[in-house]
Amino acid sequence: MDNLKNKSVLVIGWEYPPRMVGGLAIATHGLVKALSKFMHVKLIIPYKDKETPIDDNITVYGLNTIEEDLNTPEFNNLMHNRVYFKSSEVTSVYPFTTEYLDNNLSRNDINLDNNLSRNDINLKSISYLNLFKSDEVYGWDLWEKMNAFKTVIATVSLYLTFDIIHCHDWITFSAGRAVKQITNKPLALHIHALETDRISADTQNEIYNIELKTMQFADIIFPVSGYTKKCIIKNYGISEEKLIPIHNAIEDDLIKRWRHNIPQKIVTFLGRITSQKGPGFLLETIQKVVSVYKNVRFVIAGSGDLLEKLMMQGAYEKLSKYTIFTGFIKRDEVNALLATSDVYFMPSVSEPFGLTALEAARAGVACVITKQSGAAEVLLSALKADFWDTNKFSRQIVELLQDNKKRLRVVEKQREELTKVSWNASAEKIISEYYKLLN
Amino acid sequence: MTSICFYFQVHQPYRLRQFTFFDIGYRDNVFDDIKNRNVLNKVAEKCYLPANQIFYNLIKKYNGAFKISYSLSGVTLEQFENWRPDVLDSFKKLVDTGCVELLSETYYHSLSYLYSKEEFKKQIQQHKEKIKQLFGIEPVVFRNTELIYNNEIASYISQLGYKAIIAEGVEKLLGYKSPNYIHHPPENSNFPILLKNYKLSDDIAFRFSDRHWKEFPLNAETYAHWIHSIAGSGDVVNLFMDYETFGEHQWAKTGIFNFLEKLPEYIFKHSDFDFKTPSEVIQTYPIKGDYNVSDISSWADIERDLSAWRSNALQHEALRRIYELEDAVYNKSCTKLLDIWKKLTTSDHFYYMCTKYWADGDVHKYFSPYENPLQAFNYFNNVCAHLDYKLNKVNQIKWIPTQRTRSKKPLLQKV
Repeated sequence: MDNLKNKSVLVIGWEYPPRMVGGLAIATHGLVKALSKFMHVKLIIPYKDKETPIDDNITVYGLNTIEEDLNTPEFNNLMHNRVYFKSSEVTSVYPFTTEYLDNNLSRNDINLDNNLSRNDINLKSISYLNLFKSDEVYGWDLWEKMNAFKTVIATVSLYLTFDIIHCHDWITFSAGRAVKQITNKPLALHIHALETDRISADTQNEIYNIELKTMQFADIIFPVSGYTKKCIIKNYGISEEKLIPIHNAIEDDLIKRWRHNIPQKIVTFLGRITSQKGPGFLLETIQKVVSVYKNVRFVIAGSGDLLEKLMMQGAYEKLSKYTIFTGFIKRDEVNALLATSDVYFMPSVSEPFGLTALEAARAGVACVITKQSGAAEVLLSALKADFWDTNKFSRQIVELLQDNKKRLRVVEKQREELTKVSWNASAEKIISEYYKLLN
Repeated sequence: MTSICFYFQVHQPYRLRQFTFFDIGYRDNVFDDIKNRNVLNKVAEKCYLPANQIFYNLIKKYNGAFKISYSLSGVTLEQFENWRPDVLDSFKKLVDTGCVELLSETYYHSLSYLYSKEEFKKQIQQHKEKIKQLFGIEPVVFRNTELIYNNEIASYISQLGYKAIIAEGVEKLLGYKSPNYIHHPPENSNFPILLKNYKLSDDIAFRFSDRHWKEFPLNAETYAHWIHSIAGSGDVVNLFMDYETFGEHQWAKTGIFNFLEKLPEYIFKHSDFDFKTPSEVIQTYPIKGDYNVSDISSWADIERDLSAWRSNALQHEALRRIYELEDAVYNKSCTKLLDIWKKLTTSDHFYYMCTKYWADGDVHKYFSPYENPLQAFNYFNNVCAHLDYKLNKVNQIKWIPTQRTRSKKPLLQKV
């Protein structure tokens, strides 16, 4: 694997710290950081901020700052050594390019003769780049952003050296496909979540089509769990050989437990309040738990389109005494919350991985999680039930709340299981697949 | 003769701080002092001080012929005492002219009538004492929070010894009747109700600066003319509105202060018109006809009902939670806790949770200190949890005999 030292990977991501919506940012960061120990990483994301982590051997390009980013010695050097783009290579991909890239990117934009100057791409892409001046990671103009992202990255990819392309989730897939078409480099896809998780297994919308088309086109696919691998085979009909599950991991930080002043036990739900996360099953479980065990408070952290409905329904059922809604909370608050929780509850309908469950386990919280998740493959000793089985969920939660010894046993075992996953091990697995692709 | 009866509501709540999960059990100061103080300062500069000055000048100018009345909520008076004694002084100066009447209300501007009559009575008493302490007078006319009213409230208030009550003149309830006469509740023909003339009141309170209104810009002469047209078909024109209308809801640059300064001059051009305070009105004019409100009415929103504070599950739940704590709080007999609890009964907290009209950026949004109704609920719910925590903190609960007659059942559980 040492001979990958001189190679580099172009990682195309969307969410990245400090702009975190769900687990995607943390997972993307964890992975590229581990990969950078083996080879150089060029990471392109829509937003690069002052707080964006700076790591060795990772070059970060943000679309909001790309004009400055490209003005580096490295880039200027590239400008004078245009050996990477042999016209013969490029001409052969032209028919594909024009078909797959949107109309905004015409033959003139991808001007591949040697007279191309830096100003050209800056000027062509400048109107697209304005889309990335806003602060919202997704936002109402998401499709427009996605297409601009694709066009800009396709163009920029002609100026960067890399050997392999690695995309994170559907929103980057169009860009990845375009880059592969232009540069002929192998394309790896990382699947953190599928549209069939977010909506339902029989979804066939536009996002599903992007996922499907790109997965068919890709050279290798890394789903975050065996569970997701199964979903891809079942819902997208992708052949098994292309699918290599790579588990997420978490940093080995030590989290100090503390006791919140409230005398009640704390059960925590952490995640976006969307149908994928099973808010209805959460509420049903709360109701069943408090009907038998009242010395408990459910802290529900996160925001989403179903938050209002969940809160209204909870109020209607007169459960507000038992619930504390925090809205979206920041990293340090997440850690503080987990470090004082007794039970972590994740009733997701479909959870490709569920990084928060690992974070909870690391913080010494006993987990009650859905069987339909990747975390269930890692946290073998966490209590599990099917997402709809609120009877079982509530029994498990009450058991953990009442039986302290059992809870601590679960916490200890989870800790052991956590030691078996690491970003490093995941990166090694990815690197060996890269190696196969490049040789 | 026809009289114009002005009543202005002066109220500022104790808004809650952004009270999170991490504050429950840790932070006893649940109110956002900085915000409350800033709002008070802002409104004092924009409205209270300049408007008080104008009214003082008018009273002097017309030698006592110009009269107005106020209802000052107890929580507002408290804030004046702590942060703006100068504003309190300017109100005192007005009251000392003898041309200003002060009305009675619940100290905390609360919805307590709907949840606990006992608490309602206590808050009225508390307000009465505060007014007496600060102004040396005893109010005789009652107005409930946001003019929340029905027949039952009227009889309750008359039993408490008040001489009259103030209510919204709701169009659909009035039918062919006019708000410009004194009415009485169906059951009690001796108890006067003063009904707000919502049309003429809202012309000033809401429409004054509305550029799409066909009467824009409204001047004092036109307005006086509208009032004069009532001559012969009414005894009293009740113009009731939030005091913050002047300078805060309608900014000074809309000309609202000029309008006020000129209005009496034009009103007096018709010799059959004068200004009276509510108690003078009920002494001067007879009761003419009944006004029947079996459901509850108020002066809020276009519905004129309780929906501003009680239309979604969050509001119902928040109200249920706070009044559920009543017995426990009184039994704990800790003045600090009781003070917090009482301040939580202020109606504004529930108003902020209203999801009605939220999307339109309507008045609810304008008044809310929070990002959205859900947050308003969360902070409130967390503060309730904090109260819960404080109430349960001591293992041994001291039982202080109280004079309460209702439910003897302790709500507290031993931990």
